[in-house]
Amino acid sequence: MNKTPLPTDRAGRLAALRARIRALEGRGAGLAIPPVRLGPAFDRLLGEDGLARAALHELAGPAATLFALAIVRAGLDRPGLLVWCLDEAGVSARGLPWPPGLVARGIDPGRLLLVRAPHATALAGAVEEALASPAASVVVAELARAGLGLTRRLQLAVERGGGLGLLLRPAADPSPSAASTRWWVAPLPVGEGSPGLRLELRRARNGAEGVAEVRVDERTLALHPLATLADPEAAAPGPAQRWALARG
Amino acid sequence: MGGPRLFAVNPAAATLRLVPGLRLTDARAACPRLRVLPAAPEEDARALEALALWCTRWSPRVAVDGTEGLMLDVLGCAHLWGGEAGLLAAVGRAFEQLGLEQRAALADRRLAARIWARFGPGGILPDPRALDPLPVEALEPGEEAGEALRRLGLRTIADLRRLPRSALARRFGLALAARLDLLEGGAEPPFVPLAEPARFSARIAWPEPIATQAGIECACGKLARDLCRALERAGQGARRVVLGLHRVDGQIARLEAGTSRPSRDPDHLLRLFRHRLDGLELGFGVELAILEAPETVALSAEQPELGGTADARAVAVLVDRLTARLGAERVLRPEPVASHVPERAVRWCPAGVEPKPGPWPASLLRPLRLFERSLPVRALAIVPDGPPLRLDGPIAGRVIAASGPERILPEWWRPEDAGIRPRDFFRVRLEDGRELWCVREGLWGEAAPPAWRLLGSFA
Repeated sequence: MNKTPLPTDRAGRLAALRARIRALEGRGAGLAIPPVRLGPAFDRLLGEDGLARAALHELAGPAATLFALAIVRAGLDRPGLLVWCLDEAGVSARGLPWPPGLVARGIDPGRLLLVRAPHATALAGAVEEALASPAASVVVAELARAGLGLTRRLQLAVERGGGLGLLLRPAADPSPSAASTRWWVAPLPVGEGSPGLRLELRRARNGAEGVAEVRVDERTLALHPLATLADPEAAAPGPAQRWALARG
Repeated sequence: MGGPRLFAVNPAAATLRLVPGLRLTDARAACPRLRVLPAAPEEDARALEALALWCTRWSPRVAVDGTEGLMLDVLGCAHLWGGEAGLLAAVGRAFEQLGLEQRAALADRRLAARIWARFGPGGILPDPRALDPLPVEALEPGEEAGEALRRLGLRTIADLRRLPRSALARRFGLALAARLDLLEGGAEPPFVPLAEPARFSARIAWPEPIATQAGIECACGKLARDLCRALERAGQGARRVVLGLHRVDGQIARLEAGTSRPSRDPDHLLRLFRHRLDGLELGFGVELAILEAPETVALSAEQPELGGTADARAVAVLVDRLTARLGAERVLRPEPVASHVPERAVRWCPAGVEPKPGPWPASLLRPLRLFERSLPVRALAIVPDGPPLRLDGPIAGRVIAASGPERILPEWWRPEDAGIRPRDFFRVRLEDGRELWCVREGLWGEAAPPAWRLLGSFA
């Protein structure tokens, strides 16, 4: 551990100490890489880490693909491939990511590498390979089942590679996992206009939980929070910090 | 004179004076308890070829010679076995361990070696004159010429050598004279080995067979480092590598892998094989491992390229590893196709080949995911060409918003599109928020009512 002297001011000192703790936790690799920012409201929720790189994030629910692509669009600001891994069961249940749809939303299909594994076991191996590669800037993995052991392995791989790992699943998986955050993504019936999403942060490393209702700007895949109906402070107290997103 | 005949006999049958060519009925008369199996010349040929590959342990240049011979070019190889006698002894021992009979001969000229092995005692041909007492059949004169030779009392090669060559050619044909010339120093036809030896290869042979995964992996690491050193000296990078594991029982396990960019990184090459070593059947062990790079291209030391060299190399490494794991048809990159039929707009190409960059059609009416097979669905829609109001089927719900129709006609100039009806595409949002891409095939007023299908989803 390097013993660089701490900065004298309070804020700098805090940041330096936090960095040391994170290095002890084995998340040092992610520190040098700026996190993915989804907008100021999300930063408030996720802490200063944003959506950390060199980390796994679990996105489940019927609209997980759209949220995943919003993250992909933000995460592809660094050079590298978008590696999309799924097995044949996933292909027949949900279909393939489709370049004409991606390009309209600002994701360059030239950076897409599609991995079609024959079955779940081969898929897990391929995902690990992709996460561990420095060539992959974002890896989307449609793993239907991943327990603590597998996610731990994938977490170690993504720390080597330094990319962003997104585990995409159709259904909620209650099993424990080593992912940094876990989201439930449902479509929001918003009538005309751009599609809406209800994002529920079910678990995060910093202990945050909460729900956000957003509209997705389809040309940029930016997430714009909908006006909140109730004041977050006045809402019923939950077990953890509750939050809501304000416009702007 | 019909009926099956003996094709080959074993030593026990030979003691009963059964010879190949004898009719089966005659053979059965001589030995009623004879066991007969149908001949399988194709399988024999395959086995002989496998045996030839196995012989690459002594020389990289090996060829199949006829239906029961192998020819090895051992120029420059013999000293590795302690001289020519040592080489022949090693060949004899190895064949004996395989349980195969052989007679090996070694000579300066291929035909001489062949005759010495088949008609002589075998071993090293001491002197070209040693062939003299062998019968003329060794030169394969053919049916007619053989008969003529016999009638004239020309029985040995020496008898032929005494004749003037021109008379020989006139009487018995050019082929026989040419073969006699071959024995004495005429130009030999080029030797065509089974596989041209790779310019770059590394090998390890063990005195005791290795039967553990860890041992093989460790050896492969060393092979990869040796191979890459040789490649680096020559300024080359491997495009294809082949690992051959020679098992004690004579089987050869061959693993092959390609690289999308020339490479001489030992770790990279090793990774292409490592996971495939896991499931490999090692039998009683491996005694020889050979790693070859049959295809190489020039690769400069530093690879000074424009923009993000390390990046491109990392991409190539990732693609190669995934391809080695899953196969080229499972690691893909998209390529645009100039077709306005949506299902034809994308071609998925193996990622090892650089995809054609191209303008992609961009429209927000295109979904994020396309189903591989569209789903039939029932729909309630405004006649004649309104959007659906309600979907029923695998995915059901009331439609709260829709955009469309976008009419796409079939590509009538393609024969497979004959009979396809015009299609109207809609993007619909259901009451639970899901968004789908659905299509109505056909128009109202046609003989068959329109059919609805789901093609993709927007989330």
